[in-house]
Amino acid sequence: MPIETSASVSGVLIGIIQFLVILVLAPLLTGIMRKIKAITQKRTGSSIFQTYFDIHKLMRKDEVISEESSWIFRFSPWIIFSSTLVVASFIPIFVVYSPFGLGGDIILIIGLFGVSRFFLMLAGLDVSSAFGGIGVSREMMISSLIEPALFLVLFIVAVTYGATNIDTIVSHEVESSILISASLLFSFFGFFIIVMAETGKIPFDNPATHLELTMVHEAMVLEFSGKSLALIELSQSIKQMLLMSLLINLFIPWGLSTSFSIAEMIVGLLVFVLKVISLGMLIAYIETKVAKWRLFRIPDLIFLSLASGLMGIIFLFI
Amino acid sequence: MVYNNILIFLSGTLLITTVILVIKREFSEWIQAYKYQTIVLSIITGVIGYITNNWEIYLAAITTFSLKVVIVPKILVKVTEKINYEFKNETKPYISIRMSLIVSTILVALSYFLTQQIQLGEDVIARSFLPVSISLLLIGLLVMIGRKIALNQIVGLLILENGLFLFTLSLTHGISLIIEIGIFIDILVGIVISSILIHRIGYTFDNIDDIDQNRESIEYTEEDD
Amino acid sequence: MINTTIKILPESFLVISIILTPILGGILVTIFKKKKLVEIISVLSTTFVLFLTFLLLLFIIDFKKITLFNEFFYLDSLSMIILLLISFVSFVSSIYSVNYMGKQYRDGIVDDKHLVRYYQGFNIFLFTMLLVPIINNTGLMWVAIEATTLVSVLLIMIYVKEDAIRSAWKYLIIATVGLSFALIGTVFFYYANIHDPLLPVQPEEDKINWTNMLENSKSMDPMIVKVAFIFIIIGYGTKAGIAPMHTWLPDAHSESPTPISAMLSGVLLNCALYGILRFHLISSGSIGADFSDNLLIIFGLLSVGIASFSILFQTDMKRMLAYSSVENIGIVTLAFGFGGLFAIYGAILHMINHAIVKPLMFFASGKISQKYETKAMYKIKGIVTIMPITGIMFLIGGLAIVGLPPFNIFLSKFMILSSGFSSDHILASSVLIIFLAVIFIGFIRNLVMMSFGKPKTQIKSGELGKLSIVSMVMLVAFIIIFGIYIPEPLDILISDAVNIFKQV
Repeated sequence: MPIETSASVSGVLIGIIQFLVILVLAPLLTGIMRKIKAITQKRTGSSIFQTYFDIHKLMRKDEVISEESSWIFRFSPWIIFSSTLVVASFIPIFVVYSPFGLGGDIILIIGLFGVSRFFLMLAGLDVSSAFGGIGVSREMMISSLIEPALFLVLFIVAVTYGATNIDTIVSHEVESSILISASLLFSFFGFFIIVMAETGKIPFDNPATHLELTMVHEAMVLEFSGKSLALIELSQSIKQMLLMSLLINLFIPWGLSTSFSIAEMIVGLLVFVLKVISLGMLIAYIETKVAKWRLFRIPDLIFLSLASGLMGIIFLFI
Repeated sequence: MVYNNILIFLSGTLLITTVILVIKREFSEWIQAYKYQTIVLSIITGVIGYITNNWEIYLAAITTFSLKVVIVPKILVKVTEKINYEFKNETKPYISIRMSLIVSTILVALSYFLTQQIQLGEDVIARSFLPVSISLLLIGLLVMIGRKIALNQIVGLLILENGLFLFTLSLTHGISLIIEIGIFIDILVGIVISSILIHRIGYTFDNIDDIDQNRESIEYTEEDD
Repeated sequence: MINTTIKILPESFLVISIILTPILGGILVTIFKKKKLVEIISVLSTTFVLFLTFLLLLFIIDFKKITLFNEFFYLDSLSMIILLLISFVSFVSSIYSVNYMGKQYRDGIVDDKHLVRYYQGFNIFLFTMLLVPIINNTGLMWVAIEATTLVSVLLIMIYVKEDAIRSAWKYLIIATVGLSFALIGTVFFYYANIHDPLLPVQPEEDKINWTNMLENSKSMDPMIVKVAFIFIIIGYGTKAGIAPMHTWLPDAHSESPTPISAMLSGVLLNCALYGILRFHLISSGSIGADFSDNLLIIFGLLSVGIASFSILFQTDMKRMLAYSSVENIGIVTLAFGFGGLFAIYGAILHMINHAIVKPLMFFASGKISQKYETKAMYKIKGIVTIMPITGIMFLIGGLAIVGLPPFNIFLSKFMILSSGFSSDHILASSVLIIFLAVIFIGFIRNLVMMSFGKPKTQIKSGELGKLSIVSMVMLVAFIIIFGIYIPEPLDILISDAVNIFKQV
């Protein structure tokens, strides 16, 4: 598959377009998932563009900042937002390739997500409120289990395709998928659970309610307002989109465009949108069917993903 | 061979369903997961029947499906309806659920390792499914040993039996139908009897120690992590 | 010695009717639910089975082995011995049941429904056990043994007592897991039989038959045979009460109704052991006797050891007897492991002797526990004064079981020990003697304490039930006879069975 090198103008242009697509579509995805969940629960739910309206509204509002907080609280929304954007720049959406791909590496993705999570946790602690503390401690418990699972899962993918660079993986992959290799099947299963955990879905977390009993992510960001909150909401939408596109493109990559022909890229985009929406529907369906699990049972589920990853590794060596 | 991919996919799915089974603490959750596992098992049986072109195996697949996906769960649910909730939820197993999950993966690795020692030659079916069946057997044993609640020991028994079924199927491509039916009936009657026993046990206690020892009562406590 | 009139009956008719009689008995019991009738039906069915078995015995002595229905049924001298034991023990148990369960019924411990269930279960249990030694198909043999487990669990469950339920559950779980291992072993043997490194695997119907496996034993892959036999000995060993898989045995045998305990200890253990022996023969044919012999010796010694030390600390009468069963099965296993004609003769003789003495002990202890209303040994004293006949028989049985002359077990133990010392197994035999001494001490102490002395509480003296005495007297008779002299037909039968093991 002849891919033009990053030096070409069209390459850079395509990369920027992909990047903007992510930025623009992410809130829409959030809205669609919320709407689907509402429909399955026989409610009308808010419009699919609601997230845009929310962000727009928040941008115009004033911020209220606690006196107890320090520079961390003021800067973390920016840090979180920028690290998420960096990840967005090299995850392939509808084209196998992105111009900044040379820097894009699975380990780097995990690291960047880790940075944003870290600062989110610091900000939560920084305000010295009780909710912040609860949210952070729960988030730490869950993420300390998720990190190794994530490593295992992505490691399997890397070893199967012989590289940790996202570009290389995906370009090899367009020819193959989870049907070929059992370890990829286990990796898919494990990664799916991780995506549910990271994006705060039931059974892990219920961000819609602001109850002490059920919040994990929301508790950490409870103190934010105005522009900071808008940034954080946007980053979370983008993170959700990125994780889901990773899930799709690493494991079910049929339809990814492999060259820069316009026709192929449009096909790639449409296929991607289709896949993302179906994935969203699947997740919404699962959310409606399952109830939120007790906090001390959640590690059970994450252990499940860990075990799945372990088994995938076993299968690598058969 | 084209078969190879499908077989590997199926064996992977079976392992996933097994691992999900291990994680369940509550009896009702577990029955649901058991149904899924047996559905995958029946599909595997059907595929093996297709490959070997043996109508008896198709029959075995259908029997497995109807018996273990439909009838056995119904019987179990009906008989255990009246049992106190306390005796259905595993709060303090001997081997913690998470530890047993990790151990299960080690057992899977072990069974694959053991299967390498046996020379199976060209037999694709045996090569893909024999290790899975051995891991099912071992995981079934693990679940039985690790759980305190008598009801959940039936869990382990049924996983064991599934593994046994797959084992005979993959190693020898099916023993004669009469024997299979005999084994089915045995297991069915065994399940019925154990449910009756549990029905009576459920009224008195939930764990089995030597008769001379004192019984401890179960308290629903928060587990200390 | 063959009566010409008996020769008219073809063997197939005999075998089929042996199997069908208990089924018929069970059906009749279900139809007529009255107490008197079901008792008579069951006694009749066991009597008839015993009678038919004797006829079959005459055949086997003449023809050495019977194969029926295209190798579906296969009977040789070894099967015949087990068959004989099953029918005889069930016969005496059914007679004993009439009195024992009758008293339970009068005391209100079991009600009408349970009594009928008991006799139903008794017949079905008999049926499943009869199947084991005659089926050639190893898979179906497994199905039969599993069926015996299930039926015996139902019988243990007759008492709704908590302890009974608990031990039934333990028995069910452990036995089923053990039998799963046995099935794996069976499948491995089948695989070894059909496995040809050059050809793809094709299932073949007769290759699962034992006779077929024995023929092909030389061409089986040794590695597979080894693995298979390990599974078999662990699997069927669980059912046979071989340590360390015996943990269900003390509970199950002590909590079940006494006649059932007798059948469990006397016969069922032997049936499971029979399974091991069949595969022992195949394994020896394939890789030589050493491998399986060594395993048998190790497990046997372990059983005797664990049982002997457990007996010392027992307070419950029936539990002590149950551990004694473990010990005796261990001795038999050990003897089969020793190999050699003399040891195997002793082993088979010991199987027979144990199957006679153990039911006697259980019967006597059943009567005693009914009279004294307890099973704890320290509460029971002065049996000989309260129940003279039972007491004497209890004493005789106890002396017999520890191996005192002139009773039967002395003979078989002596044979086993002497063959052990004369072959290479001096260490094992010496350890065995130490264990036997420990058992001797444990048993005699309790025996003497219970039989003599003044009874602690005021209990009306007198026997309970004439019929049970009859069954016990029969057993005592055999104990004494076999201690001195082994009648010729039996001798021929056992020698034939030993010959089967000749290549071992």
